[in-house]
Amino acid sequence: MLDVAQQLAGGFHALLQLPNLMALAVGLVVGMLVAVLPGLTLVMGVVLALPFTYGMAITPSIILLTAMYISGTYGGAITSILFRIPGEPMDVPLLWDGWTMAHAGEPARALGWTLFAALTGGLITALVMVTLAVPFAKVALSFDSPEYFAIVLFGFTSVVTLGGGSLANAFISLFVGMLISTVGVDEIYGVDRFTFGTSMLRDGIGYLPVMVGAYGLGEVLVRLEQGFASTPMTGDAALRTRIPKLREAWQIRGTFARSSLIGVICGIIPGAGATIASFIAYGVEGQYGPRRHKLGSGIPEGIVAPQVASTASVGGHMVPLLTLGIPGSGATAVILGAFLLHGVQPGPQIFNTQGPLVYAIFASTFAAVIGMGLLGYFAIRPLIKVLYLPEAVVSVFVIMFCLIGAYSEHNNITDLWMIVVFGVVGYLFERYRFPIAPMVLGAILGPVAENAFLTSMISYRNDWTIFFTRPVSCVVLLMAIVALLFPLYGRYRRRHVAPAAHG
Amino acid sequence: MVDRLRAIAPYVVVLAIATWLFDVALHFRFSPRAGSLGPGLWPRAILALTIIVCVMRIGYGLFARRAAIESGTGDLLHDVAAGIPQAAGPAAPPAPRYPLLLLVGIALTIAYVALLGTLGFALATFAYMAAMMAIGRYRRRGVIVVVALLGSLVLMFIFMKIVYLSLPIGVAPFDTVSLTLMKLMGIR
Repeated sequence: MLDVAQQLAGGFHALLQLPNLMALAVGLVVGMLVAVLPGLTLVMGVVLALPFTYGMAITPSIILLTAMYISGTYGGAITSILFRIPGEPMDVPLLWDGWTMAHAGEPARALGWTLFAALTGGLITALVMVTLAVPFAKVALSFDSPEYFAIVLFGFTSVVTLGGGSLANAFISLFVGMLISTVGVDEIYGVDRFTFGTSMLRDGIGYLPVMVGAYGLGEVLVRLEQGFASTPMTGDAALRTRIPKLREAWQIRGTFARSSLIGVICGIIPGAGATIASFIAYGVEGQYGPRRHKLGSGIPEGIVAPQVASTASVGGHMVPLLTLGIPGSGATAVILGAFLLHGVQPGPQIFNTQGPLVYAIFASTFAAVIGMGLLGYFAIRPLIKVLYLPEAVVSVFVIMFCLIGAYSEHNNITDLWMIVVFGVVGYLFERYRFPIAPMVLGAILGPVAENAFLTSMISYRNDWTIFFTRPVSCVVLLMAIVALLFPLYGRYRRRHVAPAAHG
Repeated sequence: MVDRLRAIAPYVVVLAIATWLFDVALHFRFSPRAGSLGPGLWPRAILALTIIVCVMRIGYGLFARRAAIESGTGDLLHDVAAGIPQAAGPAAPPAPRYPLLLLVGIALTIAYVALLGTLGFALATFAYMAAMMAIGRYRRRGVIVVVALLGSLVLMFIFMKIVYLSLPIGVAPFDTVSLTLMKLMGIR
């Protein structure tokens, strides 16, 4: 523990270097701006920042993206509460109590509770990262390919079942992503797969063009088809924040505890994320909270639960990314991309090979949470000004960053064609209600799953039972099966149990 | 019946593509070794699962009762939202669609990528940004021109001067514009 504290002190020392501090400040501001703008999502924002990291050292690069990720979980709450415009899907539950409280004449109080919740969730997430990452990495050192395969499979099932919407569509989306990852020369056999004789496809399709195209260009195309209908803000709102007293916060400590736990767990599960955490925390508050019957009427519990959970999920996501090299969300996938671009492979060995970098990231998480609080409290008025920008102007810059981001990876115009293709695919997915997240996760984790599966088969002489005879692998696979059965149970309950209860 | 056919159309398309790719995956060229699973096993497994899901969804779409289709599948967020009075309020009316705008937007993006190497970054980006803002129903022409001009110059400066990215400068005679701008910005 003392060693961790010493290393963390070293991380804070590294953070004080000017490039790192600048990356932190820029990341916080841009992350919040991106989350405030309804047309831009947090993942899109992190994606668009990626090309800027090519010319930077690795430490400020990761600090920039992580700071964006953290502050992005708070920014959208402001517009949710004040204008009833959720900046991010994770901010939708804030409409139900946050906006209601603001609408009832207490916007400063609603904003104060959100900021306090984000700060709490953020500090918890930073503590979780520091305390869980080292033991996680030690356990992960004993993992072999069957365990990796089981973990990735669990991630696949959770992203499919927790994401919402049609299960069939989510599965198809996942399979499309996994299939995309097989294009190119196969690593084990050296054989061309789905290249159709083109040199462009022989190099394979990286997950970044898939992500940038589907999330960035695809989303802009969807909004273009709607004629960029969201009107710029014209009015003004009471932009004051009143932080709750500690005594008031202590009265709802149960909500803080429950929602923090939900956030951390949702973060650690690959595929679940801030949106899922936010909704589940609100749902749990509605089921088990002492004032559940008042939820939706503008009470602090309804604001605290989703906000604490969504911010607390960030650290949960960072733990498997750093210790297993497995990103569980779109934003952490981009952060993984930044690691790989700088020649660093996250995994169980990262504490031995890149200890100072990891502790600088940990330190920056603490600093980012504090910075997010200060920014949210003092800079809310100028931040909100971005809502006055016309959507057409913002969107055209989004497209430009998407295209330059794709181009800058290899300085090759052919990569831009990939963006266009996946932009159209992203649009079609949105249009026909196929979720994009499973496709992106499939494209990211597909090669990990295939490698782990084939390595297991080679190592254990094609013995398929190996996934069930090794304890960790077996438990994780059972969790995957439970995750798959969960929506089927929900469907059964809606069809049979709910009508019976009403009848 | 037309509604049902329209609903299953995406799955029919995915099914057709998956079946074709499955056939392609059956014919990957490699030298088989005893005990090796081969490079086609993994993609074939993915495609087989895709085909199964599509067939099930098509069968469900054609033969299931309408009420069953409308009740959907297990959806966690739906379940959570359904229990909340605020969330169960009146649904927002569907946004109007402008398919022509979409098609023009896609065509402009394709044209931008196709002409980027010829026109160079500055010229192509200026034209593309201005055109996209115009088709995005933004009506202030002066602002469009200024934003497109400043936007393309600022992006060029940031990525070429600060990030050291080698953006396309175009071919003659268009490269003259790029080279002049680079000289003015101090980009080597």
